[in-house]
Amino acid sequence: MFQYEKKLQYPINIKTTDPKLASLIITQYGGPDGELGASIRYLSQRFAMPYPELKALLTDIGSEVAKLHSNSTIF
Amino acid sequence: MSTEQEMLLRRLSGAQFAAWETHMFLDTHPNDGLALEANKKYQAKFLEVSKEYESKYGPLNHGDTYGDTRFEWVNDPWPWERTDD
Repeated sequence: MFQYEKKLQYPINIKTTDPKLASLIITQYGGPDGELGASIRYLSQRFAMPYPELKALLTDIGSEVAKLHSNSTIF
Repeated sequence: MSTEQEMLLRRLSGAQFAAWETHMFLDTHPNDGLALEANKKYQAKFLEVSKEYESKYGPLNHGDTYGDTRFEWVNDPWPWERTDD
């Protein structure tokens, strides 16, 4: 489905810690509105998609958001 | 992490980003020859820079071990580990 690459998509360098911002960011990772759920939704919805271009797009976006590494490295 | 490694990673991510964005554009515009050409170019660039990076800093994918005495994939550091402090 996707292949792990031993690198970050974008460099992360946190200079000052901010628990309040961290608690906001973590809601974008897991939870009902997070990337994790979104990823599974894209990948499930593609099975009912009739158009070939959009089957490809749902597959690509779904596996893209499965690459949550930048987001989780923050913690 | 050395600045040379950071620079290589930045070039790698740049090529990867461009390859990925043109890839997704092609999903909805599969007959766009110009975009196809751009995608191939960035894909090739990504492969070229990956090879350079891997020869210096170890494998990016689990299959890419270069030596024949150790499975280099297991070597530290991992991307979430800081090496500068």
